[in-house]
Amino acid sequence: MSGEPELPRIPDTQGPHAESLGEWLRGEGPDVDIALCTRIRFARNVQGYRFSTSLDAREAADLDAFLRRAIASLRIEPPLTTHELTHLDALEREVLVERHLISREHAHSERPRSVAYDAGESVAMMINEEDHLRSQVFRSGLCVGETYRAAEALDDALLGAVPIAFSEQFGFLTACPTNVGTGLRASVMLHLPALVWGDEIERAAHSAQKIHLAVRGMYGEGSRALGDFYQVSNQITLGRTEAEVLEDVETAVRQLVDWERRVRIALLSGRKADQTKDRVFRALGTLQNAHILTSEECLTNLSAVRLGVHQELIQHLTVRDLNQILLLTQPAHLQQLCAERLAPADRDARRAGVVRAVLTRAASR
Amino acid sequence: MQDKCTHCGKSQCKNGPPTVLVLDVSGGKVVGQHYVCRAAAEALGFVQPKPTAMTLTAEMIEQLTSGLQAKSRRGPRTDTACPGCGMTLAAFRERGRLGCPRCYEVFKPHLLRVLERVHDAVAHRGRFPGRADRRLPDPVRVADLHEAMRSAIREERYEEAAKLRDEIRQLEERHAADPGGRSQAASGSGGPAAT
Ligand SMILES: [Zn+2]
Ligand SMILES: [Zn+2]
Repeated sequence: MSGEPELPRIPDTQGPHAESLGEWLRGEGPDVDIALCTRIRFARNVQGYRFSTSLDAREAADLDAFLRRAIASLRIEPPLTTHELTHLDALEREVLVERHLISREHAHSERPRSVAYDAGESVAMMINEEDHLRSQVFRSGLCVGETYRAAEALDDALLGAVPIAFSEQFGFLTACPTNVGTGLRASVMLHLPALVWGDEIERAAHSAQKIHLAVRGMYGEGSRALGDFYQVSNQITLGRTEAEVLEDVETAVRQLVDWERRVRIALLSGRKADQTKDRVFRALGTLQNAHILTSEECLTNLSAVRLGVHQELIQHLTVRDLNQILLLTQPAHLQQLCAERLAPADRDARRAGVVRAVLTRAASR
Repeated sequence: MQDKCTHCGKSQCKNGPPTVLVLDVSGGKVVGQHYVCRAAAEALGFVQPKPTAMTLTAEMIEQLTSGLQAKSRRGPRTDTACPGCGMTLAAFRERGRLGCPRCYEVFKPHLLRVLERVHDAVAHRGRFPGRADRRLPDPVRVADLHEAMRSAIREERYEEAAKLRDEIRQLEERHAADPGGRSQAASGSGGPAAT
């Protein structure tokens, strides 16, 4: 064996460089110990064009260019920079997916298509995804109202500059009838380890589904939510006003946050306390010492350590350290950081290296 | 009987408990079973709607709803193509995506059923593009009136139903007289406007 690869240089996330984490992992804001991030998305289509999924290549290129110009002309804060996805290679596109700036579908589609986003990564507009425009606004923490107002301001600017397909009866027209009406998707990303450990998550998810909200895992396929991260979002876009939808989401998320908080306290009191601490510190030990980490093992242990940091069992780590690990250990970020394409087996060794590097830096602060 | 309707997730909705057993059959064998409520079963086409018990003749219904539904009742054949994009109903069913904004008008009768199922609603309530003063007053929407009219018919309050019908007509005529106003759905030309 040719010795261990050198640990990559980890970018600093303290102080002015915090923006390298992007808005969704900034780690500040209301209830951020449980609600990582709030996201508001609007689906919009330009009048006079077919929907993106029905455009031929030349029409798609025309529309893409038209919308890139239109977005560049919007007077909005923060200013956005536009990137044509066909000018990026597969790894660069995958990095954008991992930063939540574009969807997986957008990364892999063959259409001429673009994305516009700001330096702080709080706004991202996908051009020529399933709909002509998918505008997203992110805010760290649980702040549905504030995020919506920012998204609405962006949408107002857009509606003032571009003729948008709209009907009196059906509202904003979208390629898929599941988005028609408001075209609004409000979602909050939640970290719910205590509900998972306490076997309450099924019941929690079910109570949200009753009011037509979707609860799904953020990572991994199927029903298993890796790292105990869940996303709660509205399903219905027609027949309910934006205000009603926001209230549904906010109410459900607040209930889940309170529930999670109660179970966290229960897990740290009485007979359960030792078990919980054992679980948290074993996870920390694994992350500090492992030389091979699959992404699943990494997410699972990070979840326990995150709980430990927020419940002040672990003092020397910050949420930003953990968010940096979360971001950099994803496959595309890992390969970008190591400046080479890695086979899955090599990734696991590099992943463990990145985790140790971040934890070592934190310990020496 | 199961306690939750697998379609709407409720143990007891306004249409009652889930009483319809749905068997999933594959290759002649039952591979799964679940319960849905009566309304969901009707919406999904598993059972025929129950004949209503009231003494309402077909002509009375026709009279009450005449003009309102005449157009939409004549649903598009599955090979009817959208003049904006060439999409057919069969293609939409297969892909689950519409081709252009005009598709919403062309496939309206079919879409109304889809929207009812997906959103439990058939009309937009919410933001309108443009200035705030162009927003409609929120509470009164054609769909609500339709619903009110249907229940008036169901409960044999025919005078009220007729009044509601007139109100719906008025609203629709006002909007039809203002095509350049808010309704932009029918103006999508399909191909790129720029070329
Ligand atoms: Zn039901
Ligand atoms: Zn069409």
